[in-house]
Amino acid sequence: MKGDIIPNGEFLYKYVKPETFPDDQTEIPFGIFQDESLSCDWAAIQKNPERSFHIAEGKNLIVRISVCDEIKFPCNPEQPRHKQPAWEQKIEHDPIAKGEDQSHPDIANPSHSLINGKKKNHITKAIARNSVIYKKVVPGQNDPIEEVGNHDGETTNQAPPNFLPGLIIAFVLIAIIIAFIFILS
Amino acid sequence: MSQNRNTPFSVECTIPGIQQQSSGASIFSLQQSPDAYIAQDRLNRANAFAAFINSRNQYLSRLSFLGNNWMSGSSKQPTDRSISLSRDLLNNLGYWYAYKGSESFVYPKVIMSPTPSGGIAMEIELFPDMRAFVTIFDEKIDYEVETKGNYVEFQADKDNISKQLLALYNSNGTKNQSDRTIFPEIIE
Repeated sequence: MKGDIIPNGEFLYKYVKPETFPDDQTEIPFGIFQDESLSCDWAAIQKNPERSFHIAEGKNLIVRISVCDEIKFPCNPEQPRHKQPAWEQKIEHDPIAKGEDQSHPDIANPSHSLINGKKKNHITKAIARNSVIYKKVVPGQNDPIEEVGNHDGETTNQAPPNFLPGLIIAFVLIAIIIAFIFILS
Repeated sequence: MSQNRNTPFSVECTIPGIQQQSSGASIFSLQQSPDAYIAQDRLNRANAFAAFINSRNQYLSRLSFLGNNWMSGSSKQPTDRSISLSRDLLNNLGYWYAYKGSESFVYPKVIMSPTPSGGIAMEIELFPDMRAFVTIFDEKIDYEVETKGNYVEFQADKDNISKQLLALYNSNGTKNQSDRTIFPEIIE
């Protein structure tokens, strides 16, 4: 539900074009997390990040963030027990219905979530520390992509199904049958 | 992999093995004097860092063609000015290391990426307990130094960021050299 706080221990996904990073760089850089409203997909709802529409747009490197207090409640190392409200990050569920995202008006994203808050370097670094490269999706090497409806019956952010291989096979079979009948007659 | 920085890398690796070969030594060079080893080690490190700087310059050139929407959520094409200033900083670091830093320092680790707003971010690990965080967006430079978890922000601009960074490196190098991390994947 919109505004729900995502608890610790949950995972969030971000999708990045592989060419964003140097080829031989294995660390996750702090710079990609600088957005004050950092957009993510909540893994509890986005069960198949490999099928997200972002993958089809070339953002096939999936970064997984672990939700934890280090991100939510950053503290000053010299005063670890002293809370810093100005640095707090609100990690909340922010589902997107069809038509709400102007760049993708036909797509709903029920898993969409936000990490809201001012992103000082120690916060972006904390996010980077709690992130891993989850998967690099190789186009064409995944299960067939299926269209899935969410609880509202809307189309989710899954990419459209690919019927082309099935159509080609059916067409070839029909052609063979017709040719066989023609030869027999 | 961490190495003890009190001892030069090549001196530690005088036992025959892959590391020795990768640092340019051979069975014949085992008879070299310690001075020759140290000189060879400096040269190897200088060459390795030069190759690293070169690869990151190529990466920055490629970022000119990254386009918008490179990440889920808002993400803009890095601006030409941000890329150009990042290249300047990187080259200054490479130049300093090749002509002076390689005498006494292990080269810094640099982690890079674009930022969602169209800038370039660099995390420069000078020592294991000291990192510089530099974010360049057009003419604006944010410069912060983290030491053992404490972050301190400094004023910097395009004309003095390299000098500030290198002064920081120099001022802490003598007391922290033994703690620094080496980067075997680049050394090789």
